[in-house]
Amino acid sequence: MRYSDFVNLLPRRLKTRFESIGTFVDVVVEEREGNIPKQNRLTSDELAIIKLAVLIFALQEFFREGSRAAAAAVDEFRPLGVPGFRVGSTLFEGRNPNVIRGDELAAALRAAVGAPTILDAIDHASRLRDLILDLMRRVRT
Amino acid sequence: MSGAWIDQDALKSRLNQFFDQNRSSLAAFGSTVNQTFEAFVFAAVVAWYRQHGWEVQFVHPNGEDAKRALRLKFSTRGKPSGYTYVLCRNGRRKVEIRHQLRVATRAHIEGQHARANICLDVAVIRPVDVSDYSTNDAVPVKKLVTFGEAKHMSAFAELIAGFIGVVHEMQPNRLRKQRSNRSKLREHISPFLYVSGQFYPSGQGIIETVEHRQYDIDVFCKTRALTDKFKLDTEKVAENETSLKQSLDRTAAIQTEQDIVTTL
Repeated sequence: MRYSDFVNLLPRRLKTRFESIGTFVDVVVEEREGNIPKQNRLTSDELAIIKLAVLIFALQEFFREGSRAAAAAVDEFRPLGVPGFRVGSTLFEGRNPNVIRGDELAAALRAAVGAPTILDAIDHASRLRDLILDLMRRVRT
Repeated sequence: MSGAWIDQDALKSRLNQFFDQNRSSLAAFGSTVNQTFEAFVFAAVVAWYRQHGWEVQFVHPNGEDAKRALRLKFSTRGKPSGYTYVLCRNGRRKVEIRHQLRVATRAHIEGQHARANICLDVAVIRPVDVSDYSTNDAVPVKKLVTFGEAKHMSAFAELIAGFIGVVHEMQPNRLRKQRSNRSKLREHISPFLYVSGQFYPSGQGIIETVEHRQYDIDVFCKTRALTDKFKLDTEKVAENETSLKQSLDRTAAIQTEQDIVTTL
């Protein structure tokens, strides 16, 4: 399966957020490897793993940000006498399932990934570019 | 970490399983996450005014029960009177914080053939009676105090440049050399963009030019950056709160309903 195949597994509304990340990985890798002889560059398998790891990082961060945003909003509204907010019929209140859904998805994703080396790289990165460079270094060593 | 260290097939299989087992949860998350970020941006603006000594009060449409969850406007369509807004008071000063409010642009001329207005994600305005406003009616730009925009995509250069364009349309004075130490004592937040996606280097490049051009705008990416920035402003303002309040109260006492943009 290619990177785009995994992005296509996401709900339509989320897909567009992650489509460009694969290309960004290609750009960063090319910047670093542009002058390296082809035989010494990352293999297509290694590049595929890096793209998956970056997707996992971006997804995890996005899920967590969603929960952080929901929690921050309900916490700000509550002391003003408003218990939460609705999106259509979906109520966000306190730490109800809708508020914590992002955190739960992030945890489920990490559990699914399992691979300690990838999770370690993700946990030490704060930006996409840093993660890509770290993964490239780890591949080489 | 080569392919030998990572069983690529096993990883792909587990990821497939994750998407399969969490399909309904992913769908539920995806269908509300953009609006959640918008609610967060609205809440952050409310928090700024509350933390800067303004009295804040939710005003619900049609006298609805205040204990029910507030009704935000998650679409550009809809009469503004049908949605909750926040009324902020500080001495004699009043502003309203509204969600998805249509505001005329600076260059709009009343009576022109096609209306020029932008639906702002969060608009801070001087009080306006919108009870008769239709979905297409726009608040005059002279009532606009400041605003915030939320974008649900990654921040490339084009996105940041597009936001600068919105500021140019609504409050072009913000795009002159404005920022200085004095701005830390500002009365209201500056127009800002919140991006709920990745910050790409090209976007960061534009932001750096905004900083050295000293435009009076802000760009945020992470939720923490937005909340920290507003709280941080609170800490720095607190040292001069008393003298600023006295100065502003004097100004409010003699100020008439004139275009606030021209006073920036």
